[in-house]
Amino acid sequence: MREGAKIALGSPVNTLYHFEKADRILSLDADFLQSLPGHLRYSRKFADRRRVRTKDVGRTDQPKPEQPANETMNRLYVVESTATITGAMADHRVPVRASQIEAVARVIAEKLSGWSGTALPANVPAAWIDAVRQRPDRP
Amino acid sequence: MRLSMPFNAALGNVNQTVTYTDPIEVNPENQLESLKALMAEIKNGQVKTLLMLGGNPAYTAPSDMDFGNAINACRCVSISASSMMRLRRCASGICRRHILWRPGAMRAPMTARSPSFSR
Repeated sequence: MREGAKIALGSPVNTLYHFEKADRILSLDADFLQSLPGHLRYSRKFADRRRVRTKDVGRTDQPKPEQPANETMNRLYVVESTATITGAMADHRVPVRASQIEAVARVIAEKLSGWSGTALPANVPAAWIDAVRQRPDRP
Repeated sequence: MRLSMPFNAALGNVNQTVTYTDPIEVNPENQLESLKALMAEIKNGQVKTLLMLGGNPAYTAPSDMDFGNAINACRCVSISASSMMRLRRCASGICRRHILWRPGAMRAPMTARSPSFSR
């Protein structure tokens, strides 16, 4: 982690994720619901976006004044090498070997950038990668 | 982390769903590399006394380092809350109180003295 930050940003940093703001989450072998530092906060914020709150009359789960209405749920994609809580919560989970996580990451990066060249691990469907890549506003 | 940073940068997530702050450690460094450097210094005889504040590296350090045997070369002092896991090879150990050592630590804090105590 620290080395990654030094390579990417030039200095070690502390990373905070704001899962309450994320509509689509991709976890690359990161068990953020149980293992990452801050996982309790992350679990709470992640679950908050799973709770649909509308202002419909008659519903018991109406938002409290301090809570914004939440009409859409987040979507979690997990690529992982071992079974974790985060994988269990995933809407879309693909198990791959730890050695293949980087290849999956590279393929997704290539899809985003338009490059190509990395072979997808055999058990990862190409459609899965396309689903990850798709943005909600660009179906 | 190294993989995710370019993603978040490319998708414009930085300062939206991801924020980077100054490291919370006082001295951020690669702890594995630091431990390797220490092991090299122990093996070269550069360490006379090794003071360990908590933890038991003979148990938790990567096994290929063979920390437990390597520290025979120096005098070790361990300050640890866990007497059971304290290094047997340490010349001396100072047993720190565990956070739950105090009698009644697991109970709710007493906010007012009960009448029985005030007598």
